[in-house]
Amino acid sequence: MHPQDLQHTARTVECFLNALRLEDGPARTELEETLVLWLVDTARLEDDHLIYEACAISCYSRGHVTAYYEVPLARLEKTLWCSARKLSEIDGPTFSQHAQLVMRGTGGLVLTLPKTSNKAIKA
Amino acid sequence: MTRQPAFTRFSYQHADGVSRSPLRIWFTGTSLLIAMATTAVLASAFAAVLLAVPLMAWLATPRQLLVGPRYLLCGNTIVYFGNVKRMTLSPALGKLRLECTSGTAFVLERRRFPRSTRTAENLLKHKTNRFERLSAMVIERVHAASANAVLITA
Repeated sequence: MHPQDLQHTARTVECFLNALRLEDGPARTELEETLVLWLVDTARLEDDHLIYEACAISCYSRGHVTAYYEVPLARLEKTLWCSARKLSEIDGPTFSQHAQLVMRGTGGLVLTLPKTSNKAIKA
Repeated sequence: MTRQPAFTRFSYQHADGVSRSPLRIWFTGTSLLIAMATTAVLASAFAAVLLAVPLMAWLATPRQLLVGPRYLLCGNTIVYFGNVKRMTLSPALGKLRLECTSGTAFVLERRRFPRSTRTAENLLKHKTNRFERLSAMVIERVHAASANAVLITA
């Protein structure tokens, strides 16, 4: 892994969690670090990725879920796909029924950091 | 995706590998080809000196520490300010230790700032100034992100 890869992956995961409208705070940064380190792990393959669906993030490696994190504070009803370098909305029904990835891009996503309340930081 | 967040860059001699920009890789490859072609055509020792150009371009890649609004990047290490639970600052030793909730730790060391002066008496002063500036920035951002983080001055 090169430092530039880590920087790129950190930015991709940051946008991924921004798209879920997760406010910044200890709960988010713990999850964010876990996801970044999972993606940059030397054991990862190029096709390994994260999927957000129905308030949960699944880590897919070699087509199988190897880790699962519930994100009850997420405020997005779409299904997202995120690799170490790219992020995209995917077609939810196609993924859940046929396990196929139909990329829709990032056009309808808000990728900026949600406004953080003081309550979230002190939690 | 949106633009990269604004990072403050510091030259820092971390022990991990370096990442070379596409421009540097292109320049190194092109200058190597020119140097080899020139050496082959002229067949002189002078032409062989040209081989030093790609070598210098390859080896002179800067090692950096990047401080962003939410995390810092140093080589293969990423530290989220919100995950820091304890900071131990040792001004005498020139070290700032950041301990995270995951159990990992990152140590910022004064000795890893590069030499920017030739005089020995100014060297420590320059490194100390940079260490203090970076430490203050990191401590401020950790406090802003994690209200429970403790700062201990050793």
